[in-house]
Amino acid sequence: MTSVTFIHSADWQLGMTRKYLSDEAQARYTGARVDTIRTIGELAHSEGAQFIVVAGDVFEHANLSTRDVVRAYEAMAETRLPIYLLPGNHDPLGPGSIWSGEAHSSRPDNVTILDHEGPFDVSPSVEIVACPWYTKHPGHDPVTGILASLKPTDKTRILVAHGMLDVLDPDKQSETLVDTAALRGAVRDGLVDYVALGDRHICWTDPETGAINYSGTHESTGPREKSRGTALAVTLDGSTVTTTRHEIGRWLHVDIHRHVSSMEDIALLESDFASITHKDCAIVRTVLTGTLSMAAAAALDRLLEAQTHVFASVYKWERHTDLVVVPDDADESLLGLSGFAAEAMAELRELAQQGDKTASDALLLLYRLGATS
Amino acid sequence: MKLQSLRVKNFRGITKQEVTFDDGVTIVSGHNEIGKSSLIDAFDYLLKFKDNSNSQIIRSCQPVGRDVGPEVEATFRIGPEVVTYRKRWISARETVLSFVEGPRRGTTLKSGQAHEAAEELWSNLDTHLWEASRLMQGSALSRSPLSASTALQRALDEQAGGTSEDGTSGPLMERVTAEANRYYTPTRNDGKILVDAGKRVTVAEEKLANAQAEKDKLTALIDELASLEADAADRKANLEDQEATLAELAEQAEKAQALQSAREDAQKLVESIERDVADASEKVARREHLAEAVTTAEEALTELSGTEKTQSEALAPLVASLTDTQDKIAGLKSDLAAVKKALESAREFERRTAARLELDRVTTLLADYDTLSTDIAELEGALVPASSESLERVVDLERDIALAEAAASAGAARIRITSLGAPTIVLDGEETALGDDGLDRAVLEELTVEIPGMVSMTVVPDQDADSNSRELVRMRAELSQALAAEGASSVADLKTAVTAYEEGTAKLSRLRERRIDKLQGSSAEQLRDNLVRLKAVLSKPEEAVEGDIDALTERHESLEAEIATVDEILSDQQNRISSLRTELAATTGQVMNQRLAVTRAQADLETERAAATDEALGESLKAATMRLTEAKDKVESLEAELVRSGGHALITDYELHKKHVEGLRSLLSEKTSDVRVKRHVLETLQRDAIQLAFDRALSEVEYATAERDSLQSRALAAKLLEDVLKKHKSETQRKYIEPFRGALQKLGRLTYQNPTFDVEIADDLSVSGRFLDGDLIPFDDLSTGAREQMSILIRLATASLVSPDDAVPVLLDDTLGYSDRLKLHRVIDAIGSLKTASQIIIFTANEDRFAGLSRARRVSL
Repeated sequence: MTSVTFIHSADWQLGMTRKYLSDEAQARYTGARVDTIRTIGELAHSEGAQFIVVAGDVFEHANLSTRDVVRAYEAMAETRLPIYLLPGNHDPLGPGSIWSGEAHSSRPDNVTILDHEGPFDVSPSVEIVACPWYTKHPGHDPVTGILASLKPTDKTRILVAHGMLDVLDPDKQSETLVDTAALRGAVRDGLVDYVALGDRHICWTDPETGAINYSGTHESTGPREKSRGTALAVTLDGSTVTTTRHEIGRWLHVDIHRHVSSMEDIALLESDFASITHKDCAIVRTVLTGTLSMAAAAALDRLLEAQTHVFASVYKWERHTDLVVVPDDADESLLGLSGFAAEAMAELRELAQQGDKTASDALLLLYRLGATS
Repeated sequence: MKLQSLRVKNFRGITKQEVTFDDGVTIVSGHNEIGKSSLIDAFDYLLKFKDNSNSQIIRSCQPVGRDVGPEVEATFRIGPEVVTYRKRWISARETVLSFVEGPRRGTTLKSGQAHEAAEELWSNLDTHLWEASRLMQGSALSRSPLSASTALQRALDEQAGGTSEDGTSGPLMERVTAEANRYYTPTRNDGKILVDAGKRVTVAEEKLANAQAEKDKLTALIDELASLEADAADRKANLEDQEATLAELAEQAEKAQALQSAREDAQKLVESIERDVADASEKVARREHLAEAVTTAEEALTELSGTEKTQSEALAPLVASLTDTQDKIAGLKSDLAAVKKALESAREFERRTAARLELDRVTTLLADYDTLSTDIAELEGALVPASSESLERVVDLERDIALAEAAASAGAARIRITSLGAPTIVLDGEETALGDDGLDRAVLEELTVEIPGMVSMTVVPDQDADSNSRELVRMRAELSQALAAEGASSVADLKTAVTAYEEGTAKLSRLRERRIDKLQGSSAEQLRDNLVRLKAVLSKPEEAVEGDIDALTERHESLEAEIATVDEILSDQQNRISSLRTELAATTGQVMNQRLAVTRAQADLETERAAATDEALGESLKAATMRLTEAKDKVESLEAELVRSGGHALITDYELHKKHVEGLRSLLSEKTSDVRVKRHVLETLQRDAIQLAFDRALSEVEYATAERDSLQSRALAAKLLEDVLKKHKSETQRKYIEPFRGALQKLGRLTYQNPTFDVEIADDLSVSGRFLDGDLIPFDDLSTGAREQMSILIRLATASLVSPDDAVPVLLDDTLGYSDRLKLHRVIDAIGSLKTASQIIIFTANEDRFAGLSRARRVSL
């Protein structure tokens, strides 16, 4: 068995849109997802890879425009390496499939669609066994069914599949969970040398075999992905599997959790923002809790407002945001309210302390309007 | 502020006036027009207008016709300072501010500097309170003069424990209200900005729903296509299975088919031989039929010939009888003709005889008629028409003339000429033979009497006689004209003519009646036509012999009846003969035809027998029948073999399965077609556009919702802030209103001597109403006197509350003019009993009103 090196990628989901992105950011986000294909090509060349496999969900859905598909193929063509694309649950085969669209007539020669179950010869010594999705809801384990049909071979055999390993998914009721044990057995028996998986957007290596892996998506798709996009460089040499994780994406989803109760906390929050690089490609979701003085709350508003101009997107995770505005002595001194206005502020403060969000907002408004007097 | 003295010079009507005020109550009295109100105005102008002011107000203060400048000087305490402030306008302008007491005592400022320093001093004063503390004659009695007074509010705040509005709360409230107004209507319903945001969300959600529906349709189409393709795949697999089964059945059916073919061939042979047998049988039958036909034809010919003979024999006697009958009819008709001729001749004779008699009668009538016509014509020709009416007219004229002449003669001159012989004289130009009697007549008109050759005399009547004479002449002329018109020479002639005419006319009438009687109801023309016709009858050439018409008529009828009887007999005979002849002809035709039929049948039989004898035909039939038996045996043998091997079922199964497979192919074809159609539909959809619309709609909903939520949060915050501020403001106002109400209540109860007196005070410190004995009367509904009293009490209550530093003089100008004596005394008592740091200055033209104010300083102008 000769050594083979390839790039394992998955879940490109080209054409994806995010509701928290402005039109401008969305356009850049869409462009980046295509452009990173070129980065994968560069990685493949630098790693001496012979080909690239994409383990499902190449496209976000079947309704992409011809322009989007053609631009993706153009980027793939520029890699100048064979690319094997597996239809996944987002872009399954079957009626109305994106793979049967007119745009695919422009598919470059170096791109092969793994459009049926079974082996595809990559080279005389390497074969890919594909497990494409034919429908969004196959109703069964979409991967391991093929194992029974495989015969032992001298070739290096790479199983390219798409699905959720049962050891990683707490939803044991799902009909499409992949039987991890069966895959591990196939690897141990030498029936399969490597299982290139997609679907789960994490870069994960099977701790038992090291050969059943998720590469993660090439560009971040949501806050649950804690890093920029990744790909795996895989080298199979006999029974040895070597995988190297590469961060190739530009876009980042970040959650900032911070308890803010003072101006110092606001400053720390500011440093949180400052620490993020490539801000124009970063999407920040804030989870802020705490009790703020009116001045601090105003400062927080100013800080967040300023960040929206820098980052691709900054938005609150409303469900987990719990900020209370309570005027302190400095606020009262600054406002210098007396008479009924002072009494009104006291009542609002009490309401805010009880968690009344509108009262907090009213205090901030009072601060804004009162401070101008 | 307290006013100590006021000096006014050359100000309106005041040449010079100076008043010194007490710290408590000062009553400035003077009759009307002496300038009490001008004193107050002068103090206001001192503070307000610079000495170089060119204001119309200042110019109007200059005394009329005097080139002097209005001048005002006031000494007053304000805060810690006592100043004397003097100003002169228009002429010799001057401003001087002298600090008399206080920190700047001894300082004197002039001109603009003095004005500015005075304004600064005044700026520490509550100007609202200063303005509101005066009650001027003729000014409106307002319910809320003090709401803007910060001094009063400060005083009330102090009384209420320091809760009143401060300097920042008011503007803050305004800003908060302005902020709330951005989001809400004045009644605090959602404003345009919120409504629009809500609408944007609704619109975006509708767009999303539409986009979702489009996307769902797309998904449904894809699902349908997937289902169709799966069905097609299932059907294809099933078809392939059934085709395999069909192939197996085909192999087995092929063998059974061979056996069945052999059986079918044998059956075909049976059918062929059956046709041969049938053919031979038919030939034999035909031969027998031909022989029978010859026999039958011959028998029929014999029978027809017999019938023909019988019919011929029956016809001969009938023909003979017919001849006799025809002869008899000819004789009868000859007799009838002779009788008919004789009868016609007799009738002609009778007609001519009658015509001749009629001719004579008509001729006589016409002759009489013509005679009468001639008489009538002659009479008509001789008849001269004369009108009885004309006669009556001339008789009347004649009578009138006679009367006129008698009248004229009676009065006229007379001429009497006595004849002395029988001379001839000429009267009026007419020779007249004078008889023995001479001439004696009345001279009615000018009369000329001439004795020819001797003398001519003219007798002229008098004037009256002339006039009568002219009337007489006219009547005579009219009489002459009337007679001439009737062609009469005199009245007697006319009478004669009228009588002759009337007699002639009566005679003519009688002749005409006679002529009509002669015609006997006909016209002359009819009689003449009848005469012509009768002559024509008599001139006819027909023979006319007299005979017995009745006997001849009887004979004629008898003969006609007999001829009719014989005609019937003849007709009957002719019919019978005709019928028999027709039958005979038919029978003869049939005999001829039958002879031909016999000949043909015999010929046909001979021809057939020449081709094949009767025996040969019998042999051929026998041989064919034998072959048929053998072939049927073979068919039965093969059928038994087919049944034994189950071939029939195999073939049936094969055929049925084949049909089933064809059906499956058809169904698959339909399904494949459906798939093709659905694919085509899917391909034609703008899927990327549908997806893009959905993605955009989703973003729009997200954005619109976030925008709306943000706006709502801000709006709710503004509303909450406003509500809370308003609530606290209201509570605060209620607190500091209370001391004011208490002070006013106290003064009111004193004035009205009624413990139920109370007032209703609004948040802006305006007095909205007064309670007395439990009845609330709105301020504006109070009587003028009551409102004036309330206005004074409001100012006094205010003065009792404000601090000495904030106090300003209460100015009352000619007030209490509307109050009754009792109320007047009580209000004055309230003024006198008031404990206040405020100065009270009363200007009045009735000093007596304020006599009760014993401690007041009194100044008379």
